[in-house]
Amino acid sequence: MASLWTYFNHPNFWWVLAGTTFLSAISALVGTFTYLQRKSLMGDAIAHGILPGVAGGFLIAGEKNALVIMIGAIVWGVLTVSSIEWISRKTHLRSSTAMAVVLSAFFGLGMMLLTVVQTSGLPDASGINSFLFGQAASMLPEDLMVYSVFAVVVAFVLAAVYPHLTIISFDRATAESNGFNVRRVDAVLSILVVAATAIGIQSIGLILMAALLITPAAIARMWNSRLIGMLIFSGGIAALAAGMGSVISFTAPAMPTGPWIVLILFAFTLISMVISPQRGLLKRYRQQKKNQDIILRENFIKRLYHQWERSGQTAFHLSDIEDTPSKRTLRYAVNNDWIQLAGNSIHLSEKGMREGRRITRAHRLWELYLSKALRMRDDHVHPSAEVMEHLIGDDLEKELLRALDYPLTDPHQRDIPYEP
Amino acid sequence: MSNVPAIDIHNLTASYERKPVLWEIDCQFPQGKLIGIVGPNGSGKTTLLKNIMGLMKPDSGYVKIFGDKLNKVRHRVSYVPQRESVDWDFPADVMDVVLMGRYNPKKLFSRVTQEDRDIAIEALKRVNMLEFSKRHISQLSGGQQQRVFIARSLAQQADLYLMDEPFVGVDAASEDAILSLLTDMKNNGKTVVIVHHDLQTAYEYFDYIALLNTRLVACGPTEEVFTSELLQEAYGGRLTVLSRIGELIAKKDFPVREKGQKDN
Ligand SMILES: Nc1ncnc2c1ncn2[C@@H]1O[C@H](COP(=O)(O)OP(=O)(O)OP(=O)(O)O)[C@@H](O)[C@H]1O
Ligand SMILES: [Mg+2]
Repeated sequence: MASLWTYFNHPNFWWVLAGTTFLSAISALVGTFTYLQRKSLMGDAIAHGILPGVAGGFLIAGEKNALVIMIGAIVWGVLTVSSIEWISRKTHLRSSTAMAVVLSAFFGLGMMLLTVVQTSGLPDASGINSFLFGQAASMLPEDLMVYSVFAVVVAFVLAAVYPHLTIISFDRATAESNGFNVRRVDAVLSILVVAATAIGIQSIGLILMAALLITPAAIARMWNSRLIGMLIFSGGIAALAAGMGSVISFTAPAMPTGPWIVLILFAFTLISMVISPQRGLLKRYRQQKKNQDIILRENFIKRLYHQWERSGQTAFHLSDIEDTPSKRTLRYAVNNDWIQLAGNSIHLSEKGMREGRRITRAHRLWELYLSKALRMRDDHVHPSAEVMEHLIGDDLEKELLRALDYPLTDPHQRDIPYEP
Repeated sequence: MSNVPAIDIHNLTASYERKPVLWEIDCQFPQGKLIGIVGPNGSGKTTLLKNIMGLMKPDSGYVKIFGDKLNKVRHRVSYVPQRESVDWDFPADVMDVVLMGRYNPKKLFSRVTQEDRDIAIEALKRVNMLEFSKRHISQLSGGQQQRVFIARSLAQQADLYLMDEPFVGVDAASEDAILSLLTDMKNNGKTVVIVHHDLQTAYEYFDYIALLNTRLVACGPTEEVFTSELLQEAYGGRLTVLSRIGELIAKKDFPVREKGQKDN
C-alpha cells in the first residue's frame, strides 16, 4: 500500500475527495425526501432523462465545460419532469408508465447525441463517457467548484423548505388544508432532484446516480426512527461511500467511480440489514433465541410443577424428568432459586413452585378462554395454550381472570391453581 | 360569538372523474356546537369534508367559513384526516407529529420555537399522551394514533375543527377520552364537526347533525333529524336514480351546470 501515499500527494486528490463527499451528501439529503414520498423511480427517470442535456451541453460548449453541461443537464431534467407530469395528466397512464416512456425516449436521444459528440473530433470528446459512469479522479478543481456552487444552492433551498417537505411527505391532505401550496412544493422538490442528480454526473455518473439518491436514505431508515437523524445519517453514509469510491478511482483510474460507490452502498445496505438496531436480522435472531430460552426454562419448571401436582414430591432425580433440560436451562433455574441442584438430584423450591404454578395457570386460563370465548372444541385448545402460556404476563392474566370470573377448572376439568 | 354560521354550504355538487357523488348540498352549521356529518359508507361524508377544506374543487356551489372564503380564515380552521390516510411508518415520534401543527406554510427557513414546543406539550396533555411524546408513531395503538392527530390539530389553536371518523378503530377508553375532550372544546366556544357513520352513538354525541346519502337528507338539531322517516331515507338503500344519472354524466362528459350559469 506504499503506492497509496503517492495519490495523497496527487495535486487533485484532496480536492476530489472533499468535493465528491460534499456533493454526494447533498444529493442524499434530497434523495431522503424522494424516498419518503415513494418517488424513488423519479430519481431514476431524471438521471437517465438528462443525458441529452449533458451531451447537448458538450456540443454547445464545444468542450468539456462543467458549467454549460450542468446547465444543459438541469434544463433537460426539468423538461423530463414536466414531460412526465404532462403525459400522466393528459392520458390515463400511470405515472410509473409515463416515467418509463419518457426515460427510455430521452435516454435513447441522449445516446444518439453522445455518438455525435464522440465522432465530432471536439477536444476531450472521449471524456464524455465519464458522465455515464463517473470518473471522480478526472475532475478538475474548476469542475468541482461549479458543482459545489450548485450543491450549496440546493442545500440552501432544502433548508428553506424543510418543514414544508416534511409535512407534505407525512400527511399531504393536512398540509394542503393547513395552507401549504403542495403543488409548488412538489415542483421545488422535482427541481431539487434534478439539481441533486446533475451535481453528481461527473463523480458518480448519471446511470447510477439514482442509487445515490435512494440507497443512503434506505440505509438511514434502518438506523433511525426520526427524520432529522435519518437526514444526518444518509448524508454521512453517502459521503463515506463517495469518499471511498474516489480513493479507488485514484488507485485504479481505468475503473469508473460510479459502480464502486454503488457497490459500497450495497455492502452498507447488507451490513445494515444484518446489524441495524431497528429491523436487523441479528436483532431478530437474538430475540428468537431469547424467546427460545424462555420457552425451554418455563417448560422445564412447568414439568416439575406437574410432577409435584401428581406426586406431592418436591425432590426429583434428573433422569426422571422427561425432556432432559439443557445445562443452560438448569443454570438459569439454579441461579434464580427455582431449584436446588446437588449432583443429579433436584429440589423444587418455593420460588420455582410459584413460577410453575403461574405458567400452568396461564395455560389453563387460556384453554378455558379459547373454549368459552372462541367456542373452540376442548380437544383443540391445547396447542395454542402451549405457546400462549409463555406470553401471558401479569396484565393479561388479570384480564383473563376478570373475563372468566376467576374460574376453578379448565376445559379438561383440571384445577386452575391460584397462589395459596 | 357572532351568529354567522361556522360553515355555510351552498348548493354544492362534487364529483370524482366527473361522476357526481354529492348532489346540491345546502346547509349551515352553527358556531359553538358539536356537529356530526352522518351517513352510511360511501355516502360522501369524506368528500363533503374535502370540499369544505378546499382539498377538492366542487362542480358547482361554494362553501363559506365564518362568512368568508376559506383562504381568508384558514388559520382558524383545522382538519384531522382519516387515520389510515397516512403512513405511520414515517420517521417521526409523537412530538414531531404534534409540532407539525405549528408549521407555518407562509414562512421559509422557519424553525420550531420554544413557544411551539410549549403549545405542543399542552396539546399532548389535553389528549393524555404526554408520556408518549418520545415514542415512535408506529408503536402506538389506533386510539393513541388518533389522539396524536387530535393533539396536532389542537396545536393549531383553531376555532373550527373538522375530523374524519376519529372514532374508527379506537377502543372504548380512547373513545370516551376523545369525546370528553371534544365536549370540552365545544364548551370553550369551538365548533367541532365530526364525520361519523354509527347511528347509535351519533344521537348521544352530537348537538346538530347533517344526515347525508349522496344528497342531504336532513340538517338540523339532533332531535329534529333523528326521526324514523329521515333515518330510513338516509340508511334505507341507495337512490338508484341519482347513481344512474351520475354514471351517465361521467360517461357522456356532461356538465352539471349549463354554460354561463353561476351560483351566487
Ligand atoms: N378518489 C376517488 N375517486 C373516485 N371515486 C371516489 C374517490 N373517493 C371516493 N369516491 C367515491 O365517492 C363516493 C363517496 O365517497 P366518500 O369517501 O366521500 O364516502 P364516505 O361517506 O366518506 O364513506 P366511508 O364511510 O366509507 O368513509 C363513494 O362512492 C366512493 O366510491
Ligand atoms: Mg370517509
